[in-house]
Amino acid sequence: MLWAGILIAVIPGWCMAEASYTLEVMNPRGKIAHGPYRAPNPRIAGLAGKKVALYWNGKAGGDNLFAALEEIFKSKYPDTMVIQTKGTHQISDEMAARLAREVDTFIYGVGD
Amino acid sequence: MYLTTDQFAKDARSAAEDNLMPTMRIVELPARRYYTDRGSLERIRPVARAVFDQIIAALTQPLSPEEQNIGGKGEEQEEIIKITAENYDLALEKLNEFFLKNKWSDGLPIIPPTRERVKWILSGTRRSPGEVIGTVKPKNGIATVEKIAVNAAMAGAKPEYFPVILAVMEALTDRNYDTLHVMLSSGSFNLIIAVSGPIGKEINMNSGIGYLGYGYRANSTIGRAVRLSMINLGHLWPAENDMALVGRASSHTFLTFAENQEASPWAPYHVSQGFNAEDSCVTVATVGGYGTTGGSQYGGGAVGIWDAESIVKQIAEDVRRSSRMEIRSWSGGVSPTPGSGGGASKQFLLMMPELAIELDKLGYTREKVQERIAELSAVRYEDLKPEEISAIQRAIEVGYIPEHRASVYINALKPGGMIPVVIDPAKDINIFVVGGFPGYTLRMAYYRRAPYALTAHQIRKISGATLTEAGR
Repeated sequence: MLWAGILIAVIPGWCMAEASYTLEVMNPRGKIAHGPYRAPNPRIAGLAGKKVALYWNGKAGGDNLFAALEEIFKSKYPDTMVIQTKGTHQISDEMAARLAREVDTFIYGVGD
Repeated sequence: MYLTTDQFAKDARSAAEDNLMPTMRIVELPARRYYTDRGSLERIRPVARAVFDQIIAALTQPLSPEEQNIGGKGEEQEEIIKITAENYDLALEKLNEFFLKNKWSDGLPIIPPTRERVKWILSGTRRSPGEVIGTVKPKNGIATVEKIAVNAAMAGAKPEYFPVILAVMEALTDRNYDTLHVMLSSGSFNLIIAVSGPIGKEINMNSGIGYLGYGYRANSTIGRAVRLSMINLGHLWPAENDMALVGRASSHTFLTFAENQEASPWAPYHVSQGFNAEDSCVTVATVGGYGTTGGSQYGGGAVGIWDAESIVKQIAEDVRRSSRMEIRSWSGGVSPTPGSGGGASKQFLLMMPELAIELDKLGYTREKVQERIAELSAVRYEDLKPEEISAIQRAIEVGYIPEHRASVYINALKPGGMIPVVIDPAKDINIFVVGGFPGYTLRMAYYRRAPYALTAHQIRKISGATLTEAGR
């Protein structure tokens, strides 16, 4: 039986009904090493009296979108303060610290 | 919360995971409307109204347990994959389908990376299979020598190419190299992989007619091994986290070539970078894709007549035109401003041998060509805007203009002065002599200051080779 099995494995095409060929290959994927994930901060319960920052990353047209969002905020949530901010695509540590210190929540975008 | 378009939603989720916050809330705008309507407040209002309630929900709805209780360990993976079919051909086909379905391939059929094949590839280097070369962005997959060998085997590379592939991966995993931008940006940037020194000839790389084309196993599979390594070690995939909108020319192999040293009147490129002539080196550099900082072509090829001085002038004019608009960003200093590349440009000239020979006859060395292009591309002091003058002054103060070049700018910042747009000719104009007779000269360019790291231009000495005389 053992010899028959070996013959089936090494002579592809022989005894078609039972023959098989196995390719054993190495996994090309690199293992990902990363630290522990973090959950987002708890959400604010509501918008009344809160400060909302809109952070525009400078991509074309994002300023128009955020201007439109500010209009809607002002009409639907008149007691919410909206602050328009602008910066690089990747928020700098200084800007992140400032936002954390000065506003209750913020929206980042947009373009890609 | 993050606001993006539906076309970039997978990318945003992937980036959130890469930055260790996989459950960051994301609201999607319809791409089909956003990109056309964003040009005016009037047109974008309905798009904003349509997502406003989702935005409010993202800001105010409490986090679910799934959003809060998230793991953080890397996933385990099977290191040996077994594929069984009725015969070898069917197993090979099944393997290719399996790899592509898992996003482990590049769309072309692969060579099965069996243990024997990988061992064969590893025979080309003295380096240990377990040695960690670095991690590959965006997902920071660990690049060991063995993992790179697996990808080189898949690419169809030969062991004697492997030291070159390792040197490229060393350059790309250098913490100062901005791989995020070249591999992920919507601008579809590309990579030059330029081999200089004797190993290019020894492994039969094409450096003559058709050097960016097909037909040479070394050029094709060195580049493809790097491409597959970027896919599998960086965990890249188009329209998921590689957002190059039009892909890239030579996307499967990048722009991989060897300098044509036999036809060059000058020392090899790597000598200009401080290496010895007998060394073999590989230069890796990001260059523009379509329509951003993309290239230009000079010379007449088989059909046109040209003269060397005129080509140098044309190149200089194009350098001035493309670099002029960047002067204001020089004030950004030497560190990258995350997400915002700029600060002048780096030029890469793939110079046809005839042009180098003609220039040599006129008394030009590589250095003199660099200096001449810098001189001819300079702009008049009177043409600078006040904010450009202050940006140049700031660039001197913060060292973005290196000390050995500062006096050039200080002397030129006055009426009648000519301000170079090429900050450091020796480093910012890179000349490789490559191609056949006749040829064309190509100019490619990229930001001098990459957006997410200090540079996008590295050179590495090839070492550890066991099967070639060069690169040992």
